[in-house]
Amino acid sequence: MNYRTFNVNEVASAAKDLLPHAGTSILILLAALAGGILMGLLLTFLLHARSPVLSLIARIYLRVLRGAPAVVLLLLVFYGLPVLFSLIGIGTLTQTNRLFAVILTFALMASAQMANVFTAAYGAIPKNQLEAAKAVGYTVRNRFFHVWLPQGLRLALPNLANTATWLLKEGAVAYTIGVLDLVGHAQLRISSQYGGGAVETYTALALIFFVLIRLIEVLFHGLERRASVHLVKGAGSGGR
Amino acid sequence: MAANAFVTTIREIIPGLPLTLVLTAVPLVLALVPGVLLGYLRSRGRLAYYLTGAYVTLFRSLPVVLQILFAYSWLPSLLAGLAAARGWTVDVFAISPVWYAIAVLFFNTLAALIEVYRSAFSAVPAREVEAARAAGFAESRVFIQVRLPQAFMFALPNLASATVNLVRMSALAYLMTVPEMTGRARMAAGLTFDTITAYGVLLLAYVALCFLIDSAYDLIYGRFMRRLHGTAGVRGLT
Amino acid sequence: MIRVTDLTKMYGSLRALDGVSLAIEKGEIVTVIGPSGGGKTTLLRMIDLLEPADHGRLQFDSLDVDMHRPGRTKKLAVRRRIGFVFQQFNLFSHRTVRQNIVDVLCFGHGWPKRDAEAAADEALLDVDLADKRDAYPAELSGGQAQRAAIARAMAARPDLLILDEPTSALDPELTGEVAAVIRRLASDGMTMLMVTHHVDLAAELADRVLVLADGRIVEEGFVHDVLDNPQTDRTAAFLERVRPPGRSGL
Repeated sequence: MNYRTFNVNEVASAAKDLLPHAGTSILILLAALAGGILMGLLLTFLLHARSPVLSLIARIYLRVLRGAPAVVLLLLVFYGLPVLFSLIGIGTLTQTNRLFAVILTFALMASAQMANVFTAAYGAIPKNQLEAAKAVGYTVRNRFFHVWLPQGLRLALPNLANTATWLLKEGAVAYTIGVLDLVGHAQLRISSQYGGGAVETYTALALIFFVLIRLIEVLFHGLERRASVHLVKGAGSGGR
Repeated sequence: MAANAFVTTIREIIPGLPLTLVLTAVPLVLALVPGVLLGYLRSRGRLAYYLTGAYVTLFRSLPVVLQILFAYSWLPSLLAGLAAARGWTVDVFAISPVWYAIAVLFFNTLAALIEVYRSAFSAVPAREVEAARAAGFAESRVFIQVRLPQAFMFALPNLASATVNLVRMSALAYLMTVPEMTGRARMAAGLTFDTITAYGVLLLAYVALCFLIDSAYDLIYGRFMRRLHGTAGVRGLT
Repeated sequence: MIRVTDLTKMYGSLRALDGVSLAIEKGEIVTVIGPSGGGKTTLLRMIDLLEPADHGRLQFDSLDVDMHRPGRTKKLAVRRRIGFVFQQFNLFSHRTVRQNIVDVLCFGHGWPKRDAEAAADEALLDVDLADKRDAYPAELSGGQAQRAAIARAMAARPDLLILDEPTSALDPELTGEVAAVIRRLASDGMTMLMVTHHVDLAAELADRVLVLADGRIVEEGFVHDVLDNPQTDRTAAFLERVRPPGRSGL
C-alpha cells in the first residue's frame, strides 16, 4: 500500500532545505515586476496614443496576454528565444537563459496587468490638476514626472501589490522548464529521496509561499500608508 | 515542413479541446451556486465574513501548480488509506486524474467567485433594498427580486475574468497527465520536433477561446447597459 | 387614524428622536419642517418600521405596534398600508418603470400579476408617465423618476403616503412637475406626512405643521399660525433661513 504517515519533523527539515532558494523566486518576482512596470507604462502610452495603429497594436497585445496561460507563454518564450537569438547570432541555451526566459515571460504577463492598472490610475487622477499644471506652464516632461507619475504610482499601489502576489504564484510554473527556484528545488529534493517526503516537502513549500505572500502584502500596505501620508503633507505645502 | 508541423499540431490539439472545455465548465458550474451564496454571506455577516475570508486567503496564497502537485501526490494515497480503513473495494489508483484536476480547479474558482459576488452584492444600492422593504417585501423577496438580479449584473465583468483565468489555470492539468490542449500540444511537439509551432498554435488556441468567452459575456453584459447607464449601445467590457 | 406615542431613538450618544408623539387624522396633510440633522428622516423611517426604535408605540387604526420590537407580521402589515416616497427616488434600477410598480404590487402586496399590471398602467397615467413605462430609471430625468416613485408608492392605494423631501434632489426647474402631482393627491383627499424644505409647498398644502429640532417637536400647529407667527426662536430662525427674503410665507 502507498499509504504514508505525515511527518512534521520532515516538514521542518524540508523548509530548512528550501528556504535558501527563496532568493531565486524573489529575484524572478522583482525582475519581472520591474520589467512589467516599465513595459506597462510603455503599453499605457501606446494604448492612449493618438495613432490608431499604435493603440490597436497595444489592444491586440492585451487580448493575447489576457488569454495566455503562463505555462504556455513560458514554453513559447523558452523555445522561441534561442531561435530569436540565433537569428541575431548570439548564445546557446544555458541555465541563465532559462532564468531570462522566465523573467521575460512574467514581465510580459505583468506588463498587461500593469497597463490596466495604470489606465485605471490615469482615469482616477483629477483632470483639473493636469490642466492646472499646463496652465502654469509645465512642460510635457514635467507634467509626466511631477504630476502624472507620482499620483499614478500612488493610485496604482494597491493593484501593484496584487500584481506582485499574483506574479509570485504564477511564477511557480518556472520549474517546468527546469529553473531551480523554490518549486524546482522541492522537486529535486523529492526525487533525490526517490519520491519520499513529497507531501511534507509540498507542505513546507506551501507554508513558505503563504508567508512570502503575506510579507508582500504587509510591505505594500506600509508603502501605501507612507504614500498617503506624503500626500496629505504635500497638499498643504503646495507646489515645489 | 513548417506547414506540415502546423497541420500536425492542429490535428493533435483539437482533440484536447473538449477536455479543456470540461475542465472550465464543470468547476465553474459547480462553484456558481455556492459562490453566490458564500459571496452574499461574505458581504454581510461577521462570522461568515471571516470564515469565507480564511478560505479565500488560503487559496489565493497557494500557487495552483503547488496545489496540483499536492493533490497528485497526496490525494491518491489519502484516498487509498481511507479505502483500506473502511474496507471499500474501489481501486483508488484507477481514478482518472481529470477528477483531481476538476477538484483543484473547483476550489480555486470557488475562492474567486466568492470575491466576485462579495463585491457584486456590496454594490447593490442600500437605498433600493430599503425601498423594497418599505413596499412590504419579505426579506427573502428582497434577496430574490432586488439583491440577486443586481448582483448578477454587477458580477458579469469580473465573472468573465474569473472564467478566463479558469481556462488559463486548466492548462496546468497537463502536469497530472490530463490530455487537454496543453498536454496534447506537448505530444505534438514531441512528434514534429517543432516546439515553436506547437506552442505558438497552442497559445493562439487559448487566446481565441478566451476571446470567444469574453465576447459571450460582452453580449450578455451589453443587454444590461441601458439599466446601468441609461443609453443603449454602449461598448461592454474592457 | 395613526398615532405615534413617545418615540425615542438614540444613535450612540446622539439623541435622534426624544419622546416624539404625533397623530394624523384621515385625510389630513401634515408636514414636518426643521433644521437638517433634526431627526426628520429618522422619524419617517421609524413610522414605516424601517428601523427599530428604542422605545415607542404606533397605533394604526386597529393595529397596535411596539416600535422597539414590531415583529415580522406587524412590520409587513404597517409597511403595506403606507406608501413611502424617498428623497432619492430609490427606484429599482434593474427594472423598468412599469416593472417597478408591478414588483411592488406582486411581491410587496401579493397581487396577481394581471391585476398588478393593470394597476401599474393606471398609476402611470395618474402621474402622466404612460409614455415612459418601459424606460429604465437611469433613462429618466429626476422629475420623471420622482413621479414614477410616487406612482409606485400610490399603486396599492395606501392609507398613508409618507414623503421624505420629495423635491430636494431635483433641479429647481423640475420641482414643479413633482409638486403638481403632490398637489393633485392632496386634492383627492390623500392622507400625507411630508418632510420638506419647500416651505411654500408646505404652506399651500398642509393642514398642520410640526417643527422638529434636536429630536423634539418644538412647535406644532395650523400652518398659518406656525409659519407666520412662530412661537419659538428656533422656528423663527429656521424660517428666516429657508424663506426667501421679503416674503411673509404665503
